[in-house]
Amino acid sequence: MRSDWMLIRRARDGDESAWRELISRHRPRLMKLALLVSGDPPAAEDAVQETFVRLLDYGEEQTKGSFAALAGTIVYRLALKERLRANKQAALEGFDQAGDTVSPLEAVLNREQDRQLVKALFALDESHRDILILRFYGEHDYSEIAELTGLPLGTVKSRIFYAVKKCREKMKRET
Amino acid sequence: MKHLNEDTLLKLALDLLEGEEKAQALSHLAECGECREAFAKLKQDTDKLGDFEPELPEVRYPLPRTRSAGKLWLLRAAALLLIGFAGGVGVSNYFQGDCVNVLPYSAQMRNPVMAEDGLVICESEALEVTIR
Repeated sequence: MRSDWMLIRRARDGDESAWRELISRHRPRLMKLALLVSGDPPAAEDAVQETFVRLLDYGEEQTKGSFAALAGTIVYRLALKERLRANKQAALEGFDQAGDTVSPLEAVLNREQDRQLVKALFALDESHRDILILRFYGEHDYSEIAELTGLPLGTVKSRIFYAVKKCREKMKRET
Repeated sequence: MKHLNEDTLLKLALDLLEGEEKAQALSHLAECGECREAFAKLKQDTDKLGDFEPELPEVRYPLPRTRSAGKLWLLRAAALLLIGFAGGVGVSNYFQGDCVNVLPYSAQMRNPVMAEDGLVICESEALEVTIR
């Protein structure tokens, strides 16, 4: 199997099959991360596409950490930017986002399990939810999450513990 | 035997325990079937948090043209021209005696004769060709 970095190099040289293979390999996970952070399917799609374009500028030598974590970092930042923009827009319109962020995601939820998961996740505040999303979908370890969010490592660990505990309790109550 | 509480099991599942605390928890799990069962159940629950499967539409992202892809295109074009030229010269050498047009122009002269005015005249099977 060709490595991610080899695929990026080949895609940079115009190899369409390498490009498609890279997307096929990483898009599902990155879409999940972007959907859960932004709460908006079209915005998530834009963030993921932009992520792949930006990845063309990276090389293995200058990158700390894995390719998967790098891709997760880029898409997280883009999806976060979109969420902040949407929150600002909603605030200007006097629209309460809490509890309403789940609705655009309904279009992509087919399984009851996913509905319960999304409901449990969006019952958390963003500071706890993002840590959980990065841990489970960003392929980041705790120190990478700390660096990405600017939080102390101890805070990241306590937030992931709280977030998982609360989600688990909520999902248990729903079933 | 004192069992591990749920918080400790959860921290273990999330890889939040370190050092002595982790070693003691693992040691207890190795000996306690009840805690192992509770741990397995808890691990199953936490794994569900990473089991989001949204419906994703099929999409194609176009590959942007990069500078290195442009350079590679030029190299490939130059290589094709070179192969074409070499192929043309090869073909003209193979068909001895025929006049063949390749890039640049070349022609196989038969019985060339230098005329008084400096012109070179040759013959071919098909037609009379004058080469300057």
